[in-house]
Parts: sequence; C-alpha cells; structure tokens
Amino acid sequence: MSKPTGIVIVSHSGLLARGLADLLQQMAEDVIVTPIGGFPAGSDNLGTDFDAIAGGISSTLSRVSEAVVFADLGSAVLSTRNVLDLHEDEYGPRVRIATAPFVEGAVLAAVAAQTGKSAAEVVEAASEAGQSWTAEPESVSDAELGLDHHEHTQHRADVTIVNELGLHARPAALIAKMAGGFDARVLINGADATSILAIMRLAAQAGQIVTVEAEGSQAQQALAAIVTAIAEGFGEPISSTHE
Amino acid sequence: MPQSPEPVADVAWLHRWMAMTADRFAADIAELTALDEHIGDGDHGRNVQRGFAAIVARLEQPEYAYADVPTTMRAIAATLMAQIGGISGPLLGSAFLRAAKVAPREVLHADQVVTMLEAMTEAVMSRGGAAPGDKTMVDAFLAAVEAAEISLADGGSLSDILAAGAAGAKAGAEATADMLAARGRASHLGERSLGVRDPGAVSVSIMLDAASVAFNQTEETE
Repeated sequence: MSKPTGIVIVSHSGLLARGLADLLQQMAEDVIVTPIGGFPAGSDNLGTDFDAIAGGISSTLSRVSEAVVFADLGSAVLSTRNVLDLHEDEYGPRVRIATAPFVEGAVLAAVAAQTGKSAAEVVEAASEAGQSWTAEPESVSDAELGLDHHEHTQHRADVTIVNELGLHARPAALIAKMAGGFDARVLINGADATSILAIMRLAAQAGQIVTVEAEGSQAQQALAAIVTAIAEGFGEPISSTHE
Repeated sequence: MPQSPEPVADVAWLHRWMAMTADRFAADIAELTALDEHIGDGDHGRNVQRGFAAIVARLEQPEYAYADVPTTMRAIAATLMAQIGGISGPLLGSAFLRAAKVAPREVLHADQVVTMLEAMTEAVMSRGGAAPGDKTMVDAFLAAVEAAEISLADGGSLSDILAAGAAGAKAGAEATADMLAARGRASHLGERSLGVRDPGAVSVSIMLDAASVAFNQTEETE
C-alpha cells in the first residue's frame, strides 16, 4: 500500500505547529506529519519562514505522493500559496492548501489520510470542519420563491453608461462586488463581471451602450442590480450630454 | 555619429529596472519609514530596500546572465516572496510570478507591458484580498493599469505607456492619502490613517517610475 497523504502544518509559532503535529500523529500514526513554524523555523520566535515552508513541502513530497497543507493565518497562508505557485510546474496537484479551521480541519484531515484518502478527499473532509461554524443565511432564489421554474434562465439588457468617467476602476469594483454576490453568471459585453480588470479592459465610455447578460438562479436580481447601478451612474458626476 | 537604438523592454531592461528600484528605495528609505511609522510598524522601507537589493545581487549571478524574461521575473518573484517581515515582499513577489506566466521570452511589446501590469494587479488583488479604496498598493496598481490602458488605446509608444503607468501609480498613491485604511495594521487607526499616503502604494509608485526611467536609459544615454 502506498504511503498515506501527507500533512504539512505551517504556523507562525513553532510551538503551535509541533503541538498540532503531535495531536495529529496521535490519531493518525501512519500519516507523515511535518510541522513548520516560527522564524527562523524551529526557533521560539514568531513568524513565517518561506524557505522552511518550501523545504518542508519538498521533503514531504519526496516521501509521499500527495500532501495537504494547513496554514494558520495571514502571512503563513500567503507564503504557502507563494511556495505552491512558485513550484506549480514541479508539484502540480500533488500538494494542496486546505481552507479549514487550523486545528479542527487538520484533525479531520489526519483521520481521513489515515484511512487512505487522496489529497482531494482529505481537503474535502477538512472543509467540513468549517461548515459547522458557518451561520450564513442562505439566499432565497427565484426557484424557491416559485417565481421561476427554469433553473438556468438567461436575462439580458442594454444600458447606457452615463457617468463621466465611464467604467473605470471604481465602478468596475462596485460591479464586480455586486456580481460576485449573486448566484448567477454575469457578463458585460462578454466580459466576466466579477473581474475588475476585465470590466476595465472594456474601456466603456460615457454614452456607450453595454449589454449585460445574466444566467443562473438569481439572474433576474443580478441583472436588475447591475443595470440600475450603471444607469444611475454609480453616484459619480454625470456626463453633461446625459443630464 | 550613429543614433541610439530604440529602447526595448527586454531582460536588460528588467535588470536596469530592478537596479534603479533598489537605488530609489535606498534613497527613499527615510521617507518610506516615516510613512510606515505613522500607520504601521515602520519597517516597510527597510523591507523593500532589502528585498530589491537582494534581487540585484541575485540577478548578478552568472546563471542569470543569459536568462530569458520569464526566468528573470521568476527569480525576482522568488526573491521577494522569501522576504521576511511585512506583506509587501510576498505580495510583490506574487505579482512578478504572475507577470512571469504571461511574459514573452525575449522582448515585451506595448500591449504585453499592459498585460504585465494587469497580471501584477490581479495577483496582488487576489493574494492580498484588498479591494480598490482600501488604501493599499492595489490603489496604485489599478491607477497605473488604467492609465497604461488609455495610453495603449491612444496609440502610445512603449515609452508613453510606461510613463503613463508611472504617472498613474503616482496619482493612485497620492489618492491613498484621503482613504481610510481597511487592511492590515493601519486599519486599526481609523481616522488617524487619513492624510498620509499608504507606504505600499508609494513603493509601487517608486517601482513603476523606475520601470519607466530605466526603459529610456540605455548605454548610449547619460
């Protein structure tokens, strides 16, 4: 049997990383668990050590075929993501970063790894640790309201840009944030409305008519919100030819 | 006397860009430190200065003498990512890594410079999580991209585009003075973060200005 999926622990604290590793090893004796923490790694100083993270992942992958990384906060996550990006070509999908509570997620992960689960399955198991804590109210879709019997309805509308500066960075950001909040796929002149840069690339000027399309269970709400925002000029000065 | 050749955005430009950025950070360290002391822990200037000095040292290694553009950018990225202290190094590192992924092998043309700026901006926004108006380097990057795209659309030369990007970044950094910090340590200061530019945004402005100046600076010019 090949070695179980490895687990790498990255923390600002060497103590915390080692402590969690001990905990995991208790419940998953065949899983290779590598703790990395502190700066310099292994010392008592708090911080993240990019080179140690890279080295830890590299040595883990030389012993097992797949691994999952748990990072505690902020710069540990950023550094780990940077390591994975930098080594994307070498490691590819062999190593993944889990999005889960540090301790609870790692524990579920260790148990899953011990039973022979793949990295993808281990990440899935870990994410369940976070779900029990989420109290987000579910947004009610058209279908649930009984208003729309088609799950994937396409809506579109043309709207004129009225604000002087057109779809520059600020409105692009407002639109992107709005579009991201609906259960719908939204396009503006074919560009992904959740991407600030894609919207900006349209270089849409005042007076120009753009086509907004939305598809998905909240297509109608998404379309209405975005078309309204564009038509009202985002609270910015209106171009004089459109007053 | 023969005319100077047209400048090109090649690996030599990258080397000059990094060297000029390192010099500017060394010269401006007092200013950056003061900005960061106002809203942070004061180590930003030291961090970027050290990061770019390390880049220059690394690029001087023989293995980079004949490296192509993406390889050089990856080396820049790796050096910045490994910088300790502060978030700017890792964020700028992720920016150069994304740029490396979209860069051509030998020479960047006008549209590719704009693509490079877009890639850098996208990387910093997704890795750092900041939105426009949060008073971060994102505000400088977005303004730079916007200006560069307008210049490209207006038929600007590479030199024009880089100059526009630099001017945009500078304006973007200036604009951060009137923003309330929404990220990092500064976000705990509330109103006290007003009136002072974000040091990360100022650093991006210095870096992109260096890109522009370094582009026009060839061996034949002073």
